[in-house]
Amino acid sequence: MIAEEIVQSIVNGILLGGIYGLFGLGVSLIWGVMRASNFAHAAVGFLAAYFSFSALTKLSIDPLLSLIFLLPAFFILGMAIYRLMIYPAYLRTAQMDFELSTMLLTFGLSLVLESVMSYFWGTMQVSYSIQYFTTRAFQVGPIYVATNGLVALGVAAGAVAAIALLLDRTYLGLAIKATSQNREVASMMGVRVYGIWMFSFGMTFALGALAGVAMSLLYAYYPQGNLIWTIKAFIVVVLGGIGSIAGTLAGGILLGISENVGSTVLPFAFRDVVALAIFLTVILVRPQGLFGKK
Amino acid sequence: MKLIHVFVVFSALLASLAVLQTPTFVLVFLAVTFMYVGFSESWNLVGGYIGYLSLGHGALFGVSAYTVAILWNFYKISPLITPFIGAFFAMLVAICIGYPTLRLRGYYFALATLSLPLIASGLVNSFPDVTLAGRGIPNVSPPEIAFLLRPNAYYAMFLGYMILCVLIAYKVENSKFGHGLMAIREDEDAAAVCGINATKMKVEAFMLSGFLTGIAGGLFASYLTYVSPSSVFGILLSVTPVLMTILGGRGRWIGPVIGAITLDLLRNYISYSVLSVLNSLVLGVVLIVIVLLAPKGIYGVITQGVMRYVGRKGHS
Repeated sequence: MIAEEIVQSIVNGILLGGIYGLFGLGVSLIWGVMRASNFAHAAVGFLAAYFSFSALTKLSIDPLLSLIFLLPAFFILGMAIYRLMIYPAYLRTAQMDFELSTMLLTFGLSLVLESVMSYFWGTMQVSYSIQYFTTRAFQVGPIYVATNGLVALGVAAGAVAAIALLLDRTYLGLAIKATSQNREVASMMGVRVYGIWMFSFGMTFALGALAGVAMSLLYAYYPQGNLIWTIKAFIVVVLGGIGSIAGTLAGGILLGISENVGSTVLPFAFRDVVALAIFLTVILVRPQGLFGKK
Repeated sequence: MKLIHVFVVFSALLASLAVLQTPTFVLVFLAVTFMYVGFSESWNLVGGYIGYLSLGHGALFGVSAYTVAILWNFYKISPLITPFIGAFFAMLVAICIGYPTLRLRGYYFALATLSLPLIASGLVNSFPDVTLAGRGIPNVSPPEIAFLLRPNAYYAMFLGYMILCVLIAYKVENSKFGHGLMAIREDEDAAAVCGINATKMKVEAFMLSGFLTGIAGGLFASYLTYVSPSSVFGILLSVTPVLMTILGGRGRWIGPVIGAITLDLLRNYISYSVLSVLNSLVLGVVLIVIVLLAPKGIYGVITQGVMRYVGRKGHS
């Protein structure tokens, strides 16, 4: 009986981990490319989730279908934010301060987005997972697998594959990788570094939107709840090793499993404590991440 | 005469307000502002001098506040003594978080501190026997102080706390320790080459910061007379010292003084005149604008202006 519960929580953890990994993807990308930390990542995702919620309730558009509009919109939003906030900060500050400035700027952005969301959608929890799927879970032996979780995991795996293909198989991806390895040399080779930065920032926002909508398939959310998702995204990135795309998904699944198993064995409130404890242990023992290279 | 002398003399004059017949709303406003000056000053020790952003100082504040409230609620130990015990616990939390994360880049530290208040409020909610969960612990009030004298007493205590914090920050800024911290901020590797034990100094600074923050939290518990997760572990409480310090100018003792007074005036104005749901919107916008337009804060703008004026005079 206990064994079944643990297997069940591992399965749940894998499904949840897909979303964690998806959130981590955007954070990892922008950190790798331009050493900027995006503390507004989950706030952006939540905004997209709210848009898809409104699309579903007002216009009855399927959340996954609304991504067709949301992804380009958030891509453009990301580029605009880059142009308005990140690039001016880069011009003003030295490299060391740039990391701090992006942290503060995106943190400020998350506060702004949070209150905008509270203003338009209220501070109460929102959820539509119940209306959305007719078959909510299917059974494999004694184990239940949530349909919406499986969809989210599929979206995450698809996004990882797409990003990996983009980075490995296209000239654009090559330019992105070159920029992240060495900015000066990349610009000497004719890469338009600032253009790549802007593109990456747009992509980060689009990935955030994708993750937010995937999250909204499974979980209830409210504006103030975005912060813990951002933190988890960063923890995933640290676990997987910064700059490792596949590592991010693996880190997400690892975090999801350990949280779920942890909260089965321990009281539920220790769920977030488990995440922080893993984070602190990993950076004490292996700061480059579990799958990262030094 | 140096700026710090002006500050000390001015605060000594302010102390007289406690015994004069000052309107209560003035005392209350100033007491909270003083608390934020001290709180920001302690944040500045880590976020300003070393440049490691702590985005969850509210958790240290709250740990101490909860210690005071629990000791009062269950053991009836006067909240006038316990802030120091609370501050000690805040310092222990600071060590546990600081030791692993401060060995690395500021990025890890910001993240670990950011998660602290969320975890703390989760833990508080899951131990209702001790913490009374979301309702919070009520009636935390020192029996020694007569009800009518409360505003004056807290005014005096927060004034003393502010002077303590400012003087410590001033001492740190002009000591070998402080210069070491600033060297770490400028270039950690170079500082290490010069024989600075960077990790040790960073953890020490964070401990000191945690202790001073804890005193504020402990006093605030009995000032507010109740402690609840939303009053001490909310994100806005953690953002406030960050914002105040950056607004005034990071890495200077005077920065938090200017920033806290400015932002507190602004906030009081906003909360009376604008929708309260937009409170964090205003804070976020102020943060973005300051980082983009005046990264050195108000003090930086003033000194730049003075320098330009003096420079022009020198030429003619």
